[in-house]
Amino acid sequence: MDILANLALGFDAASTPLNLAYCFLGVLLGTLIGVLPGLGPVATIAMLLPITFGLPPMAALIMLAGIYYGAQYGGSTTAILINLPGESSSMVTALDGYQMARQGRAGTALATAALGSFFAGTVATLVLALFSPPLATLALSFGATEYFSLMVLGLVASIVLAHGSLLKAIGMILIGLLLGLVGTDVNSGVQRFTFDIDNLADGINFVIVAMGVFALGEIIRNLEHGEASQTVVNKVSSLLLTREELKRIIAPVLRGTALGSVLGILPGGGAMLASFAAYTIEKRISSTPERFGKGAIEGVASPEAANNAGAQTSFIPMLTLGIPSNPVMALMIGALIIQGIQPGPAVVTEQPELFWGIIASMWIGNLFLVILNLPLVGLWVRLLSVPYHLLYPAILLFSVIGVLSISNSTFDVTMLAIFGVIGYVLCKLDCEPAPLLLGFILGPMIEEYMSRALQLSNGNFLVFVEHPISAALLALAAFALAMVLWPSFRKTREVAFQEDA
Amino acid sequence: MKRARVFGAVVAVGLWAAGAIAAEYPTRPITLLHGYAPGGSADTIARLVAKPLSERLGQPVVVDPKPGAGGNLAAAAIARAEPDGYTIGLVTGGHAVAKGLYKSLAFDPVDSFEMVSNIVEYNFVLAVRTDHPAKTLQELLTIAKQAPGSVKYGSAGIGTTHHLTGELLNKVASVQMAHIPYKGEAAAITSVLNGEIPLIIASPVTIAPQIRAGKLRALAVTSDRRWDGLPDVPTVAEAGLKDFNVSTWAGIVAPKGTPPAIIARLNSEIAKLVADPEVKARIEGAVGGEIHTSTPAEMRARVAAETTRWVGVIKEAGIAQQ
Repeated sequence: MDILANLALGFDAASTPLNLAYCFLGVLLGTLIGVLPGLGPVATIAMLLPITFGLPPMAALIMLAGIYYGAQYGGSTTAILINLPGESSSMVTALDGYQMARQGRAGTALATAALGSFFAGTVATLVLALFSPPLATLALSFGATEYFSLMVLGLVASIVLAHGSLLKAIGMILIGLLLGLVGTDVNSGVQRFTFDIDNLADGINFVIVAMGVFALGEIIRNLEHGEASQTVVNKVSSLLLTREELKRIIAPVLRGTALGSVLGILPGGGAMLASFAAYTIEKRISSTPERFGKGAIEGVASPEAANNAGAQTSFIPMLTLGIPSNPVMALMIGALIIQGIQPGPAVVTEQPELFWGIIASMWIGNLFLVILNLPLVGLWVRLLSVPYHLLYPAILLFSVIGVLSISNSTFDVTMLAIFGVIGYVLCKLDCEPAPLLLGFILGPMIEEYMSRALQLSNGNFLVFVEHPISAALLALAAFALAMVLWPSFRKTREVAFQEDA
Repeated sequence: MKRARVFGAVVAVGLWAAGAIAAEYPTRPITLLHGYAPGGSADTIARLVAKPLSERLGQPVVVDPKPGAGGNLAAAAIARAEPDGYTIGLVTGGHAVAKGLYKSLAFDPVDSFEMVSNIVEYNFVLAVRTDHPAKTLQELLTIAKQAPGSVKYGSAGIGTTHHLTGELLNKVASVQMAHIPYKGEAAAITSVLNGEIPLIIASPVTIAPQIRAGKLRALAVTSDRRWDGLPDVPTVAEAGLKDFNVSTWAGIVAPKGTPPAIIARLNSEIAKLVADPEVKARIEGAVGGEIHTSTPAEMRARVAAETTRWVGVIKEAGIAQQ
């Protein structure tokens, strides 16, 4: 009954008019920056941080948290409508969401994303309330070896993301791995593939690669066809889900929520993995995997639930351990410190009102988001009827502004243009960009964790199988690989995928 | 006599002109560049300084983060900027390290800049997990001597001041503690909390909560003075390594050739604004340090001395230049 009392305390604290107002302001801002390509929550929160100094700590945190999970909502909107994932987590949504939009089902896809996210947000709030302390222990049980094996599993599974040629998918992953190596190696400090350009010393930003190969490549390709092609997207069907569609998304949303809640807790990339792991699983267990990548509603529902659940459970290590699991959480910790609150294990006991208030505000914020987003679906969909000769320059302009805002560097804008061309070439070659981006994200992490694990074990490779969690993950990866390579399985896979290719 | 009078007149005109520039300055917005991630402690300091500074100068002071290459991109941009007082920059301890880490730099950490004022100083903290056998720094160093390679320490990354402090400790104490680099302090703290590494060298503000919560035990702070935030923790020198004194800093610089009158104006405004108890408390809270302003000359001497020291440590530790 403690939980009920605690939640009551939280809702009490979160529902003062001031806190409600800041919660609404936060999710509204979050939705807006999520919709604007490239402008991410990190830059926004950093800019707003000084404004929060004058606020009471709880209002400040509630607003900042709202910006973060609000951006997850908004990010999927552009991914679905214009194939422009603003964040790594909405990349997977673009795969089927954009296809749905092209088939005139943009409204359905957006509604699915909103409802899936709301459900996941509600469950994740309960998870936060009930299981924060034990789940925090899970975050700590993941060391370098475990992360290495988790990332290997992710990389193996990423092959499944492709729905064309297996060879091309592996080629894309390898190119992604190489792109990911650009920059300074964490473990040795050596600069690789930087060609003495200082701007490359920190590597290539994910947003630049994702925007370039997804959105810009798509825009260039569409220009080939002139205005005629837009009619495809202009057919707008109903905005809400049919009873049958609702039934189809229940199980995927549940699975996505569970997966996101667990993976979100892991600091260092866990939340990012959640959405794509959810997609992989849906495709694996589906009786009709060939629909994925062609507008499968499950391919939108599950990853959207996963990324929203993950975004919320990623607060657990921050609130209970004082460890930020991603740059946004690091900013929140900064905000707390400036407010005179030392984030860390003591927050739950010393500031129960703040702790439970933030948790309660997340559910309220999710409610705001659904109320805000569902009516907006119609408006967003109408955006698609804007003629391409107006829409494309606008997308380009916002993309450039977004990229420029990352580190105020025109070099990054040039990189965006280059990746746009690369995206177009890949399109023409029938190579899908999703495996490339996963290789790009996972490659450097695999390397970082592997060499750290080996440094810690004084070079003993057996650590990867001696640690039980790591061994289990590697066994899963080996199993997944065997499934792909096993000839008879591969045959059915090829039959399944080439039918529509 | 005549010559002296002419000379006097020239000086007087010069002073008057300088005074006029200083009196007019600033007539348009000032850019405060820095090379660290938005929201990090350097960015926070910049924003905490920019707000009252713009109120005092009557012109907006715009914080412009240009992260990349460990702050080098921004430092190069400051050095290149027009020396008219409308571009200034915030640099931190890493600024003095750059000369040792990179083969070619587009700037000299000391000679390419006019120093304005130091702002804040802070310690690093050496900490182990509470269940570690070492209760004091001496005990830890004994373990490191008896079983070389058993004590590994984590830091925020290769070539960070945290890492170099560890290498300096290795040298002064004649031990060989292996360095494990992380991507930022949070990852290193997680690793020491779950027992992957025994020792961490971290900034006070990120590690103090874990120490207060009893998860980690602080063995020492690295400067020659104890830190108010953890008053029971001895300095490295108190723990037996005489003259060991490392603290890091953040300060304001301007491009070489910025008129002295403008530098003097900025210096005095900064000294006044950090004297405000609220600003002082916020900056000190943001980094876990102490406000410490300086004259331009003091800051120049400090940065030059730091540069020499860290270049030496980097060479001796055999850290490869990039």
